[in-house]
Amino acid sequence: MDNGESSYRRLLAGDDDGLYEIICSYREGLTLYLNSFVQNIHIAEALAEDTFAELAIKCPKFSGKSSFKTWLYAIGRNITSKYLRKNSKLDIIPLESQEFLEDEESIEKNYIKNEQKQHVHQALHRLNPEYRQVLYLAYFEEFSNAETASVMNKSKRQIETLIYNAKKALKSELERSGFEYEE
Amino acid sequence: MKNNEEMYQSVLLRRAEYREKKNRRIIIIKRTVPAIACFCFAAVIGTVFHTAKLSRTPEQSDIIEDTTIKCTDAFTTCVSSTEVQTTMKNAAVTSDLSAASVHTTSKKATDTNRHQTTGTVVTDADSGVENVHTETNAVTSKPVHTNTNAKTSKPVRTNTTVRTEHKTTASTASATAPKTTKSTAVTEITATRTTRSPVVTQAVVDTTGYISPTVQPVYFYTVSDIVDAVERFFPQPIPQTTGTSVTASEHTEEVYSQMYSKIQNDGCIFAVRENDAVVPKDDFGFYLFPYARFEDIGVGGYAEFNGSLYNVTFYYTYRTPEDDDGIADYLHERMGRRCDEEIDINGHTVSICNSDDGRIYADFFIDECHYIEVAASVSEDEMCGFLNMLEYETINF
Repeated sequence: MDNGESSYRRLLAGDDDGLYEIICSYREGLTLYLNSFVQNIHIAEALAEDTFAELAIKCPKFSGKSSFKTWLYAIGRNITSKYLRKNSKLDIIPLESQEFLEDEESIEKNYIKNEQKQHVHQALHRLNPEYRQVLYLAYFEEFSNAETASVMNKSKRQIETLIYNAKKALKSELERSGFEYEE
Repeated sequence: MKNNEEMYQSVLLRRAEYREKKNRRIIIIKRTVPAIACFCFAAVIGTVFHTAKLSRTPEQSDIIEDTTIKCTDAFTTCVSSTEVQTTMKNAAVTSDLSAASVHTTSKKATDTNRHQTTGTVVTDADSGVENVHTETNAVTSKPVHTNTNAKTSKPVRTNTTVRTEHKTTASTASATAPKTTKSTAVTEITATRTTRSPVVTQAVVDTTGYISPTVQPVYFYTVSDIVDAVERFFPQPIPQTTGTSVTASEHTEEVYSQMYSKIQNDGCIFAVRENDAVVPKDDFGFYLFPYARFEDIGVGGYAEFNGSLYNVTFYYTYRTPEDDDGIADYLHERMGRRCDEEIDINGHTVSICNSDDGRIYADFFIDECHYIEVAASVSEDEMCGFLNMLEYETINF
């Protein structure tokens, strides 16, 4: 049982500090993950807030079949999917998106300490959304293949194939930007 | 970008808003649902009661007062119309139900007959078209008016007129027979109650005297239908009601029962026999006339002679062989009819009566208990010619 699960139990018991602990533990990671869907850090932040509000208001049942983090990310993905379905015609990136980069970089620097990883994370934006998501979960959040499959609602075999293809795409993308890496 | 504390406060704020909305929704539901449920319940109950009230058949006892029967007598003119008006104290009575009730009453009384007419018969002698007219007015909290008209192509004569006035709740009835006159006599039966009692005064029957005129002739397609109906008739005891009054259905049943019993006891019916001159018009049908104030029990039909239509009716009387009065005396004593002339045709003394509308009536006994009446819009010579050629046959059971 990770800290998130115990905090959630406290939240269900009526202790709002549990919610605060969950937000502190997962806000940045969840926001960055959801940003891989929407490519807008502010929308991702709002979606992350929606995810926490879902926990606080509806108090969904946590069965414990997966880790709390996996479960929370799956909720966030579902909420984001709904958002994208509703706003499927509004996928035009606004001109002021450049301003978002600063916010994204700041949260990136806070959450991803390794500078090399930060370069890789920035390179992820130029990849296919599914490649972006699977690489973020597997390498930045360090989920196992099974957990990644659970969050993305895919089979383990599909995740393995996705990771393989995503790595190839990331490699070519990094080479194109002149990034040197060790084999 | 929000920090953790800001996001935490934001989430708490949204949760508080959600809970407040939820509480408001619960309050609205708690207030409105019982009211809506009560309204729906009342609506359902009201609908059920209303439906039950509509489907309730009015009972005989609901007919309580103010029965008025108007008759335009046409014995001499052969034009008769009868209107029956019944005031009912029943708010739930509908016009359909009233009509159904009237029809059921008549049918019950003559269940041995396959063919019958119901309602009041109105005959127009000139056109030969018969109108069956029954009118029922039900004055209730929701006034209902029923008017049913039926037309057939066969002329039928009804002789009904009595002036009766009821002024008590019981069955006291006094009848005043109209005087025989050449002009059309309009008489009226009015039953008025001073108290509202469920006892019906409309159909008070004095079986020893004259009978209420409401019972109508019964129509048959063929003579064999009449024979079949008479043979199948089995007299049943009529249930006795309290007091001296009977209901209309009981009265009708009794009159029809009396009619079938009489014909059955006599053991025969009569019909016009076809010959070279006289052709029975069987396609016009036949009528059984019940006993009435101005009508004996009889079997009526039509025959054609020299292009004219003759109405031939064989009547059954309650005379005994010892009664030696002639046909004219009998008709006068029995029904108050006049006799303009008596002639002898084929050994029969024929009573001739000319009505004001040009029709001529000829009556003569064929035996001690039966007589024939022929009515037509012809001259006396033509009538005599018809009577000379008239032959009839006796059909025994």
